[in-house]
Amino acid sequence: MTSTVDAALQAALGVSHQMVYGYGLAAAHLSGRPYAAALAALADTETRRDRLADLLRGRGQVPAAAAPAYLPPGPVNSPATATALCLRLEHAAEGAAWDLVAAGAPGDDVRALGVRWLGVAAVRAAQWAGPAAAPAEPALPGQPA
Amino acid sequence: MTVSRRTILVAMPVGVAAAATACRDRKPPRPDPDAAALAAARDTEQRLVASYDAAGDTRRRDVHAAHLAALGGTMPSALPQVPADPRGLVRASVPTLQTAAIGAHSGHVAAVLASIAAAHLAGA
Repeated sequence: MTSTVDAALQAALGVSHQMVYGYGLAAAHLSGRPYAAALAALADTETRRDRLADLLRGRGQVPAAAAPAYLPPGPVNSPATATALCLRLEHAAEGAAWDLVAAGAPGDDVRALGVRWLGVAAVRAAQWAGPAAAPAEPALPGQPA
Repeated sequence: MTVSRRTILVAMPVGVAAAATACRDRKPPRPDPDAAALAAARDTEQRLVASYDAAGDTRRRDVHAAHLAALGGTMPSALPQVPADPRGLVRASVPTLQTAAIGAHSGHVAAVLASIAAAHLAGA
């Protein structure tokens, strides 16, 4: 039987698969500091993806596999569109992390992972959005609309 | 008429429910296990709202007012103590909020606390 926690973990894993693909795609159009930031986010996301899969296996669940490819929300063919994709990826991460926190039990690994991830995603989203766009960032990252 | 097991099992809760209601009426309400964490977070947000209000930084004031509202709080009629270094208070609040989020009994409270911590970490 699939619980709310399992569903939140599978959803978070799905977002992580998309982020791995998306950061790889975006990095190809970035250079300098943004390129390094995308690679760092990619490495961090791969580590978290593997942790999410481990948590699912530990609960007797089969982690969902990544799709061979993902369709981005729009063309990614320039530094600006790549940066916009990175921002969307982190906003998706914020949502998945919120759901993990809400589904987790007090003090457990799922809750702790979600809390840490929400912080990382909010920081990365603010960096991709840039200082000028900071007011547009939500007051409560990850909160369902 | 055959008295089946189901009939008995259905009939019993009426009496049980009445007894439970009587018990419930006598018991004091259970304290909210997240009340202390919520109160501490509200206190921080009230001080930040007052601080950014005084500084005329409406963007940051509005962010922390949104945090305060999400915590179920409002601004008190008597202004709270304004921190000398609001950005320092924002930074210092992050580990406290994250610890409170991890330990919160309510999943929703945990998510709100974690989200506020994330916003503070991102430089709200």
